[in-house]
Amino acid sequence: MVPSIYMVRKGSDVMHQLIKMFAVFICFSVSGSIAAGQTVKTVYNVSAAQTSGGRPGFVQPTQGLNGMLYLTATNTLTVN
Amino acid sequence: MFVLSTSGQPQGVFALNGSSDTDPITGLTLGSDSKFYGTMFLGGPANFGSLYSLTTNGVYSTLHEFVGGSDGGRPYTPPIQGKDGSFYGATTGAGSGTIYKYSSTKGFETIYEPDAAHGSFVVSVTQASDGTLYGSAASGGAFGCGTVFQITTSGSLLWYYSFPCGRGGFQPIASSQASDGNFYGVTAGGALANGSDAAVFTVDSQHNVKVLYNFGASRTDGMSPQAGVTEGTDGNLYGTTEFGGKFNQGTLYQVSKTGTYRQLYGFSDKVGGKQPVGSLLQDTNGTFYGTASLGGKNSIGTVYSLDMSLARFAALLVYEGKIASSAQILGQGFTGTKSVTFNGVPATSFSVVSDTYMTAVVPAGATTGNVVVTTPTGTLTSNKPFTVNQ
Repeated sequence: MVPSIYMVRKGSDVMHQLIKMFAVFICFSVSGSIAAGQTVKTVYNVSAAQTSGGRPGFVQPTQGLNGMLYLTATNTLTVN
Repeated sequence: MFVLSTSGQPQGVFALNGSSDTDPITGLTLGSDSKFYGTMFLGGPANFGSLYSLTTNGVYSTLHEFVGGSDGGRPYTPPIQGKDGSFYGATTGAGSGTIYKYSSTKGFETIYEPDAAHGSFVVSVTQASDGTLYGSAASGGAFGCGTVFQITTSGSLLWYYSFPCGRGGFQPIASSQASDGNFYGVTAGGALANGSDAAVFTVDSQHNVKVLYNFGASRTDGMSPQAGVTEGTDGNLYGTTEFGGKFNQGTLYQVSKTGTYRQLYGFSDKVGGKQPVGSLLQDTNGTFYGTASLGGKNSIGTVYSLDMSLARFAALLVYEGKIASSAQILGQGFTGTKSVTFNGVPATSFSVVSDTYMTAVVPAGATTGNVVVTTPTGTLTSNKPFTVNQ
């Protein structure tokens, strides 16, 4: 018996083999209110252009000493 | 690894060792040595993944390549830094998985290998305030539905609990200790059609395990949580589900420590992407940040924020230390800081390294309590108490 998330990973591994390794990131911002004083916002979109998955989706961001958010992305090599 | 400002401006990207180690699905832990520590799920000579460190300017070091033997392999979460400065982590296999320890002086060692009766597919580990380690195993145990277990840092088993399946919980994936001393965790579920074996659970100091909330309570409830909960500065727990919600593209939820549940947001791919599977970070600016695995403008994921109008705060890299030791503090607006106190006692000295990072020396007479930083623009209180070790 294995977690469902593990099965998701197995499928995505195939994708990793098929796609080349670099990512382009484009930033824009949209937002939506969910309740008074509460907002969900897109702060960053991973780009599809020539990427293999800059998908950040399996990670929790980490705050660095410089106040920035650090994330790992699969097979990221470069950024435009 | 890529770097973003909290407003989403790209700040840089660093290559990981993608030629041999792959799938850095597990996120990063910032160590007290200012390096990031993470794991690769796959890759390496045996394709069982690796443990690595990364400096903030991108210098990558492989610390251990798992071979699938007694060292385990395929780690699903990053290591944590323990009170002794060593890093502790979990691996899902081979076998039933492992808990390992890594230190720069002694290197890598496996400290615990459960048998299937005590848990297998060990997904995560966390450290309690008493120094013991709590692990989450997604399967195994008496009923095959997973366990949580407690071990010493030398690997002696102290306690374990087998999840009973069904609404009692199936496939625990993470737990962490909250400010009330209790542990709060999540089971991913997946065996029941309505998803109600996915749950938020708690473990109290007497090792009583209780389900706080079962997902699947309504047609639009969250389903399939794939990560643990994060305690916010308002005392509530925040998390994500991969599916469910009005559009069945995942949700953000809040649950109190007494089990009052609220779905905050249903992803629709219009805002924030869809199908979030990671847990949330509460930045010291008060806002939560997470990632969506799909959706967004380019359909391959986003970084999103959840603003609950919570105040800015101070965080520490290590929440304990001895008198005269130096505490490392994260926050914002530190430039021009006027004072730092440890439970009301002024720091012996402090040094502002940057607007977002400073250090302060624990003063004689300090006792366990919150660290308070008084900046020119306001007062920042630590989100957790700082324990003073005598």
